[in-house]
Amino acid sequence: MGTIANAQPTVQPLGPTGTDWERVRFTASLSIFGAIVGASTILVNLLSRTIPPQVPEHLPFSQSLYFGGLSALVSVLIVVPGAWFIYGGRPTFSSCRDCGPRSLARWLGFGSIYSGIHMLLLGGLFLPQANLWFSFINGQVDYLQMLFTASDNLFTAPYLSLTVGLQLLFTSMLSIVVFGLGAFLIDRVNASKDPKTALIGAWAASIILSLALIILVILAPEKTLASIGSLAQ
Amino acid sequence: MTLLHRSPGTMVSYYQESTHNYVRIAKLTGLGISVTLLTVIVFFASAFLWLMVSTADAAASADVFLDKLGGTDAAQSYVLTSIQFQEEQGSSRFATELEAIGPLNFELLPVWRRTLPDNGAVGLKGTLETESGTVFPFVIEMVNEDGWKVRTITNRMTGKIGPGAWFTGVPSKPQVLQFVKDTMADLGPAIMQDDFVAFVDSLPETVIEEVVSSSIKRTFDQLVGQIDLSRIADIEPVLNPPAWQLITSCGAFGGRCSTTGVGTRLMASGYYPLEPEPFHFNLIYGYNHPDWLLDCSFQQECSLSIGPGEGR
Repeated sequence: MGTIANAQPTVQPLGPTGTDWERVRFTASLSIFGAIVGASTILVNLLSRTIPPQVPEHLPFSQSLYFGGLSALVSVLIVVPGAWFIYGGRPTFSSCRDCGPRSLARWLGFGSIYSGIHMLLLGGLFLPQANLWFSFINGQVDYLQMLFTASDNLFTAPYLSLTVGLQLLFTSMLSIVVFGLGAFLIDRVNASKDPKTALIGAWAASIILSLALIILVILAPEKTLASIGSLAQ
Repeated sequence: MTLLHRSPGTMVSYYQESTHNYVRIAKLTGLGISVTLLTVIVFFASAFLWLMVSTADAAASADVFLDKLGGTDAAQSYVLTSIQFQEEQGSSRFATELEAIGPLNFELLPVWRRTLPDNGAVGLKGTLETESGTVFPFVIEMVNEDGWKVRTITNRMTGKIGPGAWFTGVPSKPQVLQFVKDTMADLGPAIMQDDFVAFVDSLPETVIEEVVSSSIKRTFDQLVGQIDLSRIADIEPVLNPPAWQLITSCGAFGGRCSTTGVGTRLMASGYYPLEPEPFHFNLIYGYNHPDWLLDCSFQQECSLSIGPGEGR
């Protein structure tokens, strides 16, 4: 039997350990919504590129899924680390985390950062590579051409992010508002004092907002979407 | 950040500034880069495998076809062509096309120059070397019809080329002779009757406008009443070797020059041995897939004349 003096030093954690589910929930629910905002951004943007007398028309389903999925992926790449960072780690000496939801103005600010990075990353890197891949799978470019063009796209990404990215400018500006408002709502629900509301509400808010956006993009008249996407230019 | 308890007597509590986070960040970054690189490599390797597998059978069938085509009896390869090919091009026209370009040596480009199948067709690229040593690129399109069959093989890289074998070889002398005879069968009576419209009406619609405003109208007017062409259909013309009508144009301010006409513009010149003087012709035919049509227009002067000399 050992004495107290001989006892081994013990490490006492200062707070709860293990997975930070609150943070995971916030990040995941925001990422789902962000992905749908990203997908909608590119689909509305493609509609808004129609030049009269051409009539804006939705892409075939497979192409919508392809380009929408790509844009959603870029959004997830931005939102996951962003939301994780914004939510922050567990506080050591405080009982509340950031003491309540962030303001609408802050979310619009985060929305601007999200939208800017999304526009540059999608236009500079992902969209040119996706177009190239699309040409390859449709038998329009051979393998070697694809390799050369892919590496060329990679090195010219900074230039492409301006030239191609700027084509997404107006729709990206619109996504600032959509993302900012949606994220603000998700954050408010997530920060609810009622644990049940916080637990289910964040997921529910994210899914309901995402579904609403999907339905809007699918069902709204193409001309209206094109007009919204170009900020009625 | 942890609080350490050393002994019950002297409790020392302090913050331990941990460097673990930085190491973790570095590890995660390294892992991220490695995973990204690995993903890219796996992605391109998979795409290559996909390409190789999905085009292997078509390429093998194309190789068999090209071997036969480059062999001694090229016409045998006609059986390896698709239904569409055979509908568009009969075996005699196939043989004529092969004859025009002469003995060939075909070679397909390596697998990394292939494209994926599109709508059940695989386009393969290659090079063909003529007997004279000239190397051209060509495309062979394969379709799956109870096995891979040839739909198109061509070295015509511009314009819309349908099913069949279409090469840019100079048409054979008998072929060109037939073009000239066909033209003269309409032109001769028109000159006799001083009816240029009758001649123009015999032409395909696509070339009428160009021929009406071309130099051939001037020479037509000069010949009316000067020559008896009533029996021209019965007389065999003497033809100079057919050649391409080449036009070189250069960019402004010392810009690059380019020559066009190979495979697209054919010069047919010669004369009819008429009495008292031969009747000379200088006609230009343009390739309008899949036919050669009279194509006299700006920079492509067609002419008809009477005068001494045989090979003017």
